[in-house]
Amino acid sequence: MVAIFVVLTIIVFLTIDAILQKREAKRLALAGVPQGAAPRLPKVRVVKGLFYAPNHLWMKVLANGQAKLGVDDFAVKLLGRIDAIETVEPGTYVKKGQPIAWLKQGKRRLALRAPVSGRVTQVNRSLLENPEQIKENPYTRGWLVSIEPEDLGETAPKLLIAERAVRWLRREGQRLREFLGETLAARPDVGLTMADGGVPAEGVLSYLDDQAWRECEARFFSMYETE
Amino acid sequence: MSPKIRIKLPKLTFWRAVLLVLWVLAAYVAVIRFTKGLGAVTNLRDDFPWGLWIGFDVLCGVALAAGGFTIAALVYIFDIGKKYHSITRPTVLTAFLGYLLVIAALMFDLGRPWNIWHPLVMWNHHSVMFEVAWCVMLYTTVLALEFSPVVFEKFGWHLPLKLVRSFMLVFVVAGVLLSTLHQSSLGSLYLILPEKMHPLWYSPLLPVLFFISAVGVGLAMTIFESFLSHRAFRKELELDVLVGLARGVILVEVIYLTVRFLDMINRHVLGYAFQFTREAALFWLEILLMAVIPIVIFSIPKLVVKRNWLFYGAVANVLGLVMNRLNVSITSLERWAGPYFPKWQEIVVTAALVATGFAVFGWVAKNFPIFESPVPEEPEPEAAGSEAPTYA
Repeated sequence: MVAIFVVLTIIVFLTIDAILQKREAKRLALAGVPQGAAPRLPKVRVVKGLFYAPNHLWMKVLANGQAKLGVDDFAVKLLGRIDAIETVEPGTYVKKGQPIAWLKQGKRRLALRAPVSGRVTQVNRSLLENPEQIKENPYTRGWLVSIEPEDLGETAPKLLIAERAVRWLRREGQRLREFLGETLAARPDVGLTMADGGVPAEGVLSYLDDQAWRECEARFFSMYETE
Repeated sequence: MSPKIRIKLPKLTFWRAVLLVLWVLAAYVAVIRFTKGLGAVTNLRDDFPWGLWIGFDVLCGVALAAGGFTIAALVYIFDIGKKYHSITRPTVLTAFLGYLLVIAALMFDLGRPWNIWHPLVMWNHHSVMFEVAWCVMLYTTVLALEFSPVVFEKFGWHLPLKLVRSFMLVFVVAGVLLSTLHQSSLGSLYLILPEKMHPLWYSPLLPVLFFISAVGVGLAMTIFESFLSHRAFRKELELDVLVGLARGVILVEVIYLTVRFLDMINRHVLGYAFQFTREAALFWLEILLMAVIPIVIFSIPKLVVKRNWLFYGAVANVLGLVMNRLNVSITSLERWAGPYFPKWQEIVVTAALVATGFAVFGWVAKNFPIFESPVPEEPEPEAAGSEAPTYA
């Protein structure tokens, strides 16, 4: 009878768990939290020949001394859906750490801060008109602005390139998991979205509330924020 | 700027409350067991020396951890598709935790647990227990090494990571060999009881049957574990991977049924299965759960692609294996030794160990990269090509 007792105990525990999960799913559905499995975050693309700033902007230095700036694939995948992109106007002088562009998702805006001081010479109008282009390849057609940097010699060595950039992006993936797990797991509206860690979903930020959005922006995109 | 330190107590959920209660009760039982002995907390006796702790914690624990070597063998040795790669880490973690819990259970069950190190120096080549002891020690070490890249990745220790990765195939081969020995030798333990065991379960082929059923349940446990991870961590369920595993379960269980029934026919004991006895009922329930239900569910194309049915098939196989191990270790001996039912203390320790396994799995999943990393080991070729990107 021990065999029957053990098997029945396991069935009872699985049934209780299924009931609890069902109730939780119902509660979250009423709270308007998206249900079902979140799509797996695809691998983040890296181009080794670019410089990467810790706030997820890449920089390509051109032969004429100007630099093109864009946002990396990590940020694109984190947002998932990008409804609109705004940039500063050409001719604007931006100091390192000042916003140079904004990614918009509904009413939310994610500020992207310049990794280098200088005057903006050109913006990618085609991207502003078709923001979805950034998802195809943020490193080519997805560039944001062109800038005439003024302290490049000082800034560039502090940025990440090649293998260091790849390793850093890996760590950012881990940091994202920790952020989602540690900071948000306890919150009822996020519990199911990213209950106890696991694989971050593509567009995971769209699943989170405004407070989590702000916190994520502070942790991953504000390394150059000026006082 | 002063760093913000936040100390957050975890929310008390139903399962966390259950875990806490079980831990408190198990701690109480542990004190009694280690101060007053096995007799104070178990219904074990001289003619029934192995009960729930061996039957469930050790026999079932080891078999349910078999996913570790079956999946590792599929991925690394037989190279059957890279799609199974994504489930290797959670499976190895399940196996590693399973073995650690088996060791913990043994510490409760051994009469003199402080002598557990004896097989290391006191070699008795003729004892199956000697083989079991060495296999558990070595395989737990191998599982720790197989799992270590996850820890090294987490802390960014590149040198040990490189070192362990370069020897991974050696560890996997060692793990498969040790598991093969170990899964079968647990069956061998019962070969010395031909007169005491019921003929429906005693067989000279017990080691072979234990091994085959462990391979089958290793695959089923991976489906089961993937489903629970999907629910708990919102991890995407890779149906193509799980359907592949389900097909493996069909193959293994067909082999199992064939070997088991041919063996019974050969030994002229099949008639016992058709007698109106408790043993016969338990035997058929075991066969139904472990082999028939999974084979039927996984063979119907419409059902096998539905995640709920995949789960039911896997659960049936797991429950059937649990029944088999408990029937071998307990039911089959009751006719000779008299009835045995565990004391509540035995049940509490077993439940606490299983609950601890679930809790530790959850904690590791939360803090270590056991599911696929979002950043590739190497950048994708098209993105990392030597050509610099061109800009509009």
